[in-house]
Amino acid sequence: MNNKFSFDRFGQVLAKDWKNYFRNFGISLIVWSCIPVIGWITTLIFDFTLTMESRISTIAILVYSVLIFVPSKVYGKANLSRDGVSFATLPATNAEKFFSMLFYCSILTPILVGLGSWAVDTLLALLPFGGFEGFVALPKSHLGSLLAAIACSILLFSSIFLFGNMVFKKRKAGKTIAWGMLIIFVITMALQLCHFWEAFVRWECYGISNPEILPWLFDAFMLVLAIVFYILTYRRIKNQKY
Amino acid sequence: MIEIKNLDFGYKYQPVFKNISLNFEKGNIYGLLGENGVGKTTLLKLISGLQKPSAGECMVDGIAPFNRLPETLQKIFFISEDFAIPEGTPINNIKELAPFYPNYNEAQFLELCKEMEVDPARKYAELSFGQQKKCLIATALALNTDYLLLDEPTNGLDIPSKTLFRQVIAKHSNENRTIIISTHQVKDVENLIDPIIILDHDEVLLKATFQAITDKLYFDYGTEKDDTALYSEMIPGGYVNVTRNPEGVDSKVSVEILFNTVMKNKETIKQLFG
Repeated sequence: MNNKFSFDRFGQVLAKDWKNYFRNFGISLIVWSCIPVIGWITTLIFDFTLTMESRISTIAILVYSVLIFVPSKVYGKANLSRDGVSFATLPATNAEKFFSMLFYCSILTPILVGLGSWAVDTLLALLPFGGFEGFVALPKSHLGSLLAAIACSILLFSSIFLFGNMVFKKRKAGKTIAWGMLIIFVITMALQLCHFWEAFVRWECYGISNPEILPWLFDAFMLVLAIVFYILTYRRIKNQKY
Repeated sequence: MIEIKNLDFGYKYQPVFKNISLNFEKGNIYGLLGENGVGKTTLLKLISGLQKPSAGECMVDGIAPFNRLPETLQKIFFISEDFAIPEGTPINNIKELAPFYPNYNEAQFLELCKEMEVDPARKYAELSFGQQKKCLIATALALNTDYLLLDEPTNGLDIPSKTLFRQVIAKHSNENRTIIISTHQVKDVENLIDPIIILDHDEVLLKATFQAITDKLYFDYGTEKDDTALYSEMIPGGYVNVTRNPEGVDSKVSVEILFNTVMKNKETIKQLFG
């Protein structure tokens, strides 16, 4: 019996979780992807055109907000003492369970909602009436860096809520947001006290000869933070008592 | 084999076990008895890897279950008293679990459902509590795990279902399977369990087979109360007196009377069976 990560067994965990994902989140996924229709109907009623920027923002908001809810919808029971027993005792490694969780919450969901809402937006833009003009597309210039930034921010955002899902037993999304805001506030205050920002600005002005490196540094920072939250989530799965 | 050595465990402000040692050998149906709150469910949780010992060892076939390795998890199935109701139908639920349990037998599951008089194609949510429990027991048996842990399995079952439960467990037990039944409804499992383990706060008061119990204790069903007995209890038509059995005379054990005897004579019983 292989007690290490097995791709066969990981596939079985993915297949089992897919059924759970579809059961608990399938309809939400469709509803979420169709939200651009509301904007389109609004343009019909009030006879105005929605700008490309606001349509892109709508899709982005949809993707980020779905990341808040998907862990608790699909894996909300994983850390509960009664309901989590089936998750804990499923004969698969903690890593297989964790990576399945990561796949559904951090990779598949943003792709499905992003592509779904983009497809709905495009279909609506094809209609000869309504206020959707032109097709939403990412700018060709700096596409690589833009995609990297989007991917890193999605991973970070998702990892935070995945961790919150394994830490909190009730009102998981709300508590994660509240604790996140509190931690950001405390860190900001601490950095203010240390005059960090002044030092950072000076470093930005004089320390770096190539300012283009800054967005990449920021992406790397987000990625590292996301990995930290993923590791914490994995440890939570591993050490969770029921 | 399940080996528990010098195990300590407690919840935040509540110690449960202090230095207990126990073995569960293959092929037996153990009855785990004890008053409410002595740690019967906790012991099952420790064996199934849902809790971690504070000190000492809890090993299932040489592996600590809290590591939750697939090798260990596929050998154990635990039905807790307050189980979570699975989603969908019993047949779909077991098909989702089947790839993880190499000894799963679908024909056996369908046969078990028939024996337990439950429809595996009806959604769990549409079944009564007793039917849900029977479906879970059928699931547990058809997965053919080496260790089956049942916490208060007869709670919520009606009288015919309790009989069915006993029949099904007896029929599907075998020399490779260890079944541990935790219960305080001893009459429901009286003719099923052997050996018996009686837990008290912090410790194991008794672990013995029926043979060992009758070798050391005599259950006298008479008309008179024996004041020298370890324990006497009035029953319709007379008394049951439990006495020491130096001659090794055979008698019929009443698990409920045994339990009361043990609880009233903790030190004597520990010395007698120690």
